[in-house]
Amino acid sequence: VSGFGGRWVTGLLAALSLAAAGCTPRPAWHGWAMEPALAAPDVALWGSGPRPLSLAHPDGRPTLLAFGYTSCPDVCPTTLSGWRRLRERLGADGDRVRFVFVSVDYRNDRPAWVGDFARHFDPRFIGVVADSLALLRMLPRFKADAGYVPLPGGHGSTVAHTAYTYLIDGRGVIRRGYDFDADPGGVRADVRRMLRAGS
Amino acid sequence: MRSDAARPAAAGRLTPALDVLALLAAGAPVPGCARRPEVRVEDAWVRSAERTSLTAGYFTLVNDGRVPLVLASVSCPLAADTRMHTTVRDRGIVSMHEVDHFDVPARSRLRFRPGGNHLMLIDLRTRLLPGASAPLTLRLGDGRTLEATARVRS
Repeated sequence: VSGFGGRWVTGLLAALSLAAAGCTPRPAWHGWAMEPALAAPDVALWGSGPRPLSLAHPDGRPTLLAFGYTSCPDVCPTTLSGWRRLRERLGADGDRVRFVFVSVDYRNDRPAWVGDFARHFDPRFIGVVADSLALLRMLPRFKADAGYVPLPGGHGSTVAHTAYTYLIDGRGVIRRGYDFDADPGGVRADVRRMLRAGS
Repeated sequence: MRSDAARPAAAGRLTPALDVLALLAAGAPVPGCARRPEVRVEDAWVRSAERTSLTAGYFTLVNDGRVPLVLASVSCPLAADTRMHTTVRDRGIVSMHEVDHFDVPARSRLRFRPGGNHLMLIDLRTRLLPGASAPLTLRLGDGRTLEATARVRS
């Protein structure tokens, strides 16, 4: 009996020493932290709905946000189809997260189109357009960039934009960023962690 | 040449003779049978486009031969125009650029995949629904063409 007890005490001591050394299995965050973490700005973003969306008036849910444009055939659909899979994997928790796709192509994208474009991937996704003034206020907060880049030979222009997915907490503070092709399991784990912490 | 991505869902209904063909198409080793062509298209797919007139296509061009190749162009009869683009990433900022041609060295693979090289299918003539297929014709620098069937998926 004393031998069993001795092993138990040894195990306990080992567990305590691991805890003291910071080795308890605490999951790490994924992507990267936005430092300093800034609040999303109060700008009106128009989509299909009768009222504009403002990120500065959050509804308490965490938000995943990405910049793009509707005639983007490669990166933006990759982001949105990744979000769709993420939302499916979140199950019931998917309703506790807001997904917002922000078009930076204010010259060509109409709000209703962007709403349609986002809903094509999931009916609950929100698609909005940021006009040039909104972008001036938004992009620095997200440490992002977007704009029209002339094509060589004067053949029109193409849209360049930051392709990260951002995680905004329920109070409207931009917390984390992820590459558009980041491991979706990592984003999902972070969203769940934020939900558990009450955002 | 036919892509191995063509209609995999139908495999369950095939006769035994066609099963062998399906195995060949899937690249399974079958004793006594000819090897796969040295130059071939694999994993061709096109992203579904139900509401937009523009979408992207992806594939891998395999060159197992000893001779370097040039991919000069790709066409798809379902689009008014098909161009080869690449997505360039610079500190998180992405933009697309048209590419005139791609060099495919001997014994290498040229990959078109999301976030990198991709086909731009412009002014689609039909809605592309998941499960449908889209024919692609790849034209090489020496004038040869390769036919592939891209699966449409979301």
